[in-house]
Amino acid sequence: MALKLNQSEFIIERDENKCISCQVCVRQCSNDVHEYDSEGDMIYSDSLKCVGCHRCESLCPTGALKIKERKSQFRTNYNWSASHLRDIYRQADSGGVLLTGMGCDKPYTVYWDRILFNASQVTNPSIDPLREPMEIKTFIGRKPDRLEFKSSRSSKNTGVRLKTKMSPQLELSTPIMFSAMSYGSISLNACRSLAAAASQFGTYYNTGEGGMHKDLYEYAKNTIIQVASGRFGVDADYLNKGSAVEIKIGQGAKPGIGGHLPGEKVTKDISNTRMIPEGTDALSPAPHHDIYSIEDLAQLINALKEATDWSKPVGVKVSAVHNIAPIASGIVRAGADFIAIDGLRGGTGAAPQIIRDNVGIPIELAVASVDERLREEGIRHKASIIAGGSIRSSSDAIKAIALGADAVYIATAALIAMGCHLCQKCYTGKCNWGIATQDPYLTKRLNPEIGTRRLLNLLRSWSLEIKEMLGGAGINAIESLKGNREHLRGIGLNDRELEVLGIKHAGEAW
Amino acid sequence: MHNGEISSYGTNKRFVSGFGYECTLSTDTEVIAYLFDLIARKQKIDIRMIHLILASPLWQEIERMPRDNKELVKALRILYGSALINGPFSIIVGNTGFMYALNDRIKLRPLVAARKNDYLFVSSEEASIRKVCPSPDILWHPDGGEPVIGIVNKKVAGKKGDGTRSVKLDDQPVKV
Repeated sequence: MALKLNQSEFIIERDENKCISCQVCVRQCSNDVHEYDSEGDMIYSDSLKCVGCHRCESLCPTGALKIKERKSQFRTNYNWSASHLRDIYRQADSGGVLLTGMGCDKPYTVYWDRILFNASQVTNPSIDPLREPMEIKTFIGRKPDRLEFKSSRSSKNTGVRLKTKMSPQLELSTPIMFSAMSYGSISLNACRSLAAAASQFGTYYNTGEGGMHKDLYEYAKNTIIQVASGRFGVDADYLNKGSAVEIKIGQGAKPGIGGHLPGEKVTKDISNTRMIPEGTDALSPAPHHDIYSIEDLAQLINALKEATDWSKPVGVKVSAVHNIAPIASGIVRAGADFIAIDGLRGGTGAAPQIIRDNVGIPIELAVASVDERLREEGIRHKASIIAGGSIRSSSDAIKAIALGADAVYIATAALIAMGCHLCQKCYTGKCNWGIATQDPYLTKRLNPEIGTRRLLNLLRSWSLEIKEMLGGAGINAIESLKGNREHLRGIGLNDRELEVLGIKHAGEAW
Repeated sequence: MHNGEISSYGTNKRFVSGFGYECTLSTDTEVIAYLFDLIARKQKIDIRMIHLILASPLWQEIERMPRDNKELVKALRILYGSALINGPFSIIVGNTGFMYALNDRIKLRPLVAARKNDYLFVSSEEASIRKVCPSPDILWHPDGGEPVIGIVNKKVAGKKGDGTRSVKLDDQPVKV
C-alpha cells in the first residue's frame, strides 16, 4: 500500500443496525466513497475520498449514515494548522496549484455580523408591512444629472411632460439579483432554474461568461448578458438577448486571475454555446486584452452600447481590491451604468485556493468606501452599485443597501437553495447535487421545476424579511434606506473600521 | 417648521451631501431645508411638482396613471428616490415669496389648512387656526402627500398699504 501522508477530513459513520445495503449511497456518490461487497452483503466506505457534501446522508432511506468533520486528525499546532499540513502534502504529491470552489472560508472578520440594524420606537412609528404598502422596487441604471420638462396641453391634468430622455433602467421587484454563473460552471438545469425564478419574480439572472444556451432565450427579458475576457459566445445576437450587459473584469474569489474550463467539460452543447471547438479548454485570460486603461474600458462600454442600440444598461463587474474606490470612480467616468462589486468571500466554480483565500477585501468595506467616494465626487447618481460576494441572508442585503448599494447579487445562496452543501469541490465537475457538473447522470438530479420553486421561495422569503425590517425602521420605500448609515451601528469594531464603514458604534445616538 | 421625525434622514443627508450641503445641526429638520433649496432653487423643479419627490406617490398608484403622467412621476421617483422623505412629518417651508406645506405620504402626522380672503393658514391642528382666525372661508385636511401651496402674487404684493400681501392660490399642485 502506498504511503498516504494525508488524512481524511471526514468520518463516515454507518449504523450497521440501520443499513439495509440498498446501495443508494453507492449510486449517489460520484467520488466513489462507498463500495458494495456482494459476497458479504456489506458496504465499505473510503473516508479519504469523501468531500463532505452530505448527499449520501441526505438520501439514506434509513438514516444509517452520518458524515462528521474530523477535528483532530493532526497534532494541534497553532501555527501549523491542519489545513497547512494537508495542503503541503497535496502539493508535494502533485506539484500543482491547489484548486478550490465556492468562496473564501477563512475566519476573517465578517462585518455583516458586526453591524446591527435599527428600529423605530415612539418618536417615529414603525410600519406594519402586512397592513401598509412597503415598496422594495429598485431601478438599476444611470440617472440623469437633472430632469427637464415641457408644458403640454395634451397631457391630462399635469400640464407638464418629461423632456429628458431617461437612460435605460432595469426594473427589479426586489433588490436581489442572481449573479453570474456560466453554463459550463453549472448545469443547464441550474441555469434554467435561475432564469425561470428571476423571470417569475421580476428580477434578473446573469449568464456568466459562457454565452447563452438557446433554451434560455425565453427568459431574455430577465437576463443580464456577461462579456468576459474570453468573449465566449459573444456576438451581436447574444448581446441583444438580454436586458443589460455586464463586462466582467474581475471576480471576488479570484481577483486578477482568468478562468479555465477544462476540455472534458466542453461538451457538444457547451461548445455550441461558447462558440469554441468541442473538447478544447476554454481559457479566459486574466485581463481583457483590449482593456489596459480606463480609456480602453470606455471604448468597450461604448462599443457594447452601440451594438445594443443604446437600449440597455452596460455595467462593469470588478472584484473588491484595495483601491476599489478610485477604480469605481474611473469605471463610472468610463460610462458604466452600474458597477457590480464582488467581495473577498464571493464564490467561484474554480480558483486557486491561495488567491481565493488571500486576495481582495470584504464587500462591506468596499461598498462603504465606493459609495463615499462617488458621493464626494458628485457622481454617485451616474451609476448603480450592486454588492455581491457573500450575501448570506436578507439582513446582509439590507445592511449592504444601508451602506450604499442599490441592490445585491446572490449566487452561493441561490446554489444552497438548490441543494448545494458547500463542499467546495465545484472544480472537479463531480457535484453530487447536480449543480456544478455536466455529467448527465448527475445533472438530472436537479429538477429545474423544483429548483425554480426553491429559488422563488428564497426570493420571496428574503423580500418579506426585508419588508419587515424596513417597516420596523419606520421606512416604507427601499430608496429611503439606500446609503442610510444612520440605521446601522457597529458592534465590537474599532474606530478605524467604523470610519471606513461610515457608521457609529452601538450605543451612540445622533 | 417640522413636526415629526425623518426615518430617511441618513439617505437624505447623503443625497444632499453629494451636492455640497453639509448637515451640521444635530437635527433631521435641517435636511428638509437643504432638499428644498436643492430641488426648488438650484435644480428649478416647479414648486407645484415637489410633492411628487418629497412625498412621492406609491408605485401602485404610479402604475395606474395615464402614460405621460406615469412617465413623469416615474422619472422623478427614479432620479430623486433618495430625496423621498420617509417617516412621519408635516412641514411648512416658506420664504418671502411662498408658503408650502406638506405631510408624509401615508399621513402619519396631521396637517390642516384654511383660507380667509388673502390669508392662508397651515397648522398641525385646527384649534390653532381657529385661535387666530375663528371663521375661515374654507378649512380642509390635505391628504398625505398633497401639498398646500401659497404663492405671493407679485403684482399686488405690497400694494395694499396695510403691510399684508396678497396670496395667489390658483397655483394648484400638479395632480397626477
